[in-house]
Amino acid sequence: MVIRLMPSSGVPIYLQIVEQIRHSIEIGALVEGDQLPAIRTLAEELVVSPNTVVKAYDELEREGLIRLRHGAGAYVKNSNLGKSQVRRLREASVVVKETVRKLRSMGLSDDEIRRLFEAELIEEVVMR
Amino acid sequence: MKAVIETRDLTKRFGHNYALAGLTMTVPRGQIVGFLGRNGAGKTTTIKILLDVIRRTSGEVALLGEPTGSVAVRRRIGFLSEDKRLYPYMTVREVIAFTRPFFPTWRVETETRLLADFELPLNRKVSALSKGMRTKVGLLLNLCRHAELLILDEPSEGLDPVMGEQMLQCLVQQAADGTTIFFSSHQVAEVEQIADYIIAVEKGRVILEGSLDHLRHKFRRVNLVFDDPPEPEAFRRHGVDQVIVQGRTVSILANGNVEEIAALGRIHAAKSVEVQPVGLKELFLEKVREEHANS
Amino acid sequence: MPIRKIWRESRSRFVFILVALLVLTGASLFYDAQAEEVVIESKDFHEAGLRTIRGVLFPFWAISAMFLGLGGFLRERAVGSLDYTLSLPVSRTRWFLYRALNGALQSVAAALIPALAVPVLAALFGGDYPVGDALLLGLRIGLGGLLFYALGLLTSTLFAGDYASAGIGLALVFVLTKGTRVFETFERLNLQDAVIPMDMIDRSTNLIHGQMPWHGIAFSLVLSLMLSALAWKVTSATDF
Repeated sequence: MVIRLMPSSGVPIYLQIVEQIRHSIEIGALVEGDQLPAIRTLAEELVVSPNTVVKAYDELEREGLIRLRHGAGAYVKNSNLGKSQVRRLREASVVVKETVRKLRSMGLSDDEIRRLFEAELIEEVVMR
Repeated sequence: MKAVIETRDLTKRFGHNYALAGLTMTVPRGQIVGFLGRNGAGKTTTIKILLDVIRRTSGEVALLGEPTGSVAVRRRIGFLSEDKRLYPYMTVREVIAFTRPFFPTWRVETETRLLADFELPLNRKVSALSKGMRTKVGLLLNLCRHAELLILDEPSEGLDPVMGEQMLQCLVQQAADGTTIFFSSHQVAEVEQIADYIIAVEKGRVILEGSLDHLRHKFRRVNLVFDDPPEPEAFRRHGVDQVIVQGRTVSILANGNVEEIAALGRIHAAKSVEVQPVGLKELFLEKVREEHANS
Repeated sequence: MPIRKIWRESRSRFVFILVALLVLTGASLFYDAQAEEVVIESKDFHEAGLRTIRGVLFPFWAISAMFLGLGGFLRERAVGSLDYTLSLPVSRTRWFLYRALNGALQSVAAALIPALAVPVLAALFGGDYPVGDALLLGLRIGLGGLLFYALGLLTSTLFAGDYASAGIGLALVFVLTKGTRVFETFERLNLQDAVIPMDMIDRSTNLIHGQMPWHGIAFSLVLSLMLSALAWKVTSATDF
């Protein structure tokens, strides 16, 4: 599992970790039963606060992607919720791919496309 | 007791100059807290007051719930100064042996492990050590006592990138053990990397405070493009920190109400509405600018 | 241990001063000022001994004692380790007490040991000087002259920089020794007379005759304590 962070981007680090672990699960780099690094270990490796890793793992557990066993580590979960999430994301990525292809053919640059999505997602940002 | 450090309206006057002009802050327990500020903003003065090296002019301050003059409290904390200086005539072994008896929570296993990890030359005098080596000795002296709170003044100052990263890694390890880390820095990047909570100061006052993630969620930059930009005043409302007009673009730094601002943009027939996250550097610089504009 | 650190930091200075005073004592004992030559045989060690202890050891020791008082937090700040020292769980008062006691003991030793060297040297060269006299005079110098030590203690808490505190300290030592001889009214304050009053010396034997009074020394000790207390107050209140 390779995690690359951008601490200065303004995006919370824990969300970046969540996203990248989620992505690893999607593409099969992490499969059900795999053990994630201990909170302390991952924090040391990424050189981020342990609280950040705790938040990330808590969020992943909340999304049903991992199971946290107190004192015994974090494991990628075998659950329908997880699988359906992966399936959903796979279907969604097809939609996104098609949309991006269409927008690009209209002559928009990648940055413009990104900003359009950001603007559309404002409501969700405010909700958080 | 929740807060490890608390100050209320702390002031410190040197002659006619107020190094601290009413500093109020609460440092939460169990987190890595970045104390961010420019040179001369009051960071070192604050730390010196916490350690009772200098005395405050007025205001209240408590360290682990006790007054700053308490000797007993210093048994429960660690401190690493900016220049990381120790006693030049002592060897590494001697300075460790000197420090050990002061701290009942000292663990020899940690000492053995760190001596090996850091590869410290036990018989070399401190005066013959490089700054990087001295930093490692200073870290060892602090980490072995397993303190409740670690105070560091500009921990990566004077360190090369590798040693600097090792330093941050040590702090992260300590935090994983439950130690609260309070470190001052003028480098936004390192604060952004490891801090859970930040307190930013300028001219002896707090200008920004809060959990970093909360700030990251809260602040947004909204860029609106118009054929004919309206007056900036049109956008001044609750949640707007800054409005800049550059050509056809009105750029707004918002601490909330983003939806309302975007709606405003559309009402004024904006051609484009973009929303971006805001990094700490941008936020910090803006708050410094505001502080100077207000005084 | 804090006291060992304090001793360690003051050790070489103390040894240097002790050796220097011993050399001075030896040299003065065998140097005949009138004849301007070194005389060893048929020496009147009673005369040489008193002259050395009162006239040579005392003034040079006074300067040395002042130097033994220098140091403290301001010097440590110049070295750079003060932040670390003050961050340790030891109060400023405790550090000060250790420093003050360490230096005071060193000062007394720096008076006693050279004074006791006189009977030793006398015996080695076929003469004699009563150990009791040497012990008493050395002790009186050490205790009565602690005022000089306290001066060093005080100036080093007030002035940063070795040169400033040493310079001012020296000036004050000068005033207390030579200065009090200049004006008759101040003669009574002269410490040399209080510590070794000549009217208690038998002029024919050059030995102590009778009981030497202690009130002058007691007064000087009280002053030393007051100066030290002031130094402690300053140190406790200073912003470093």
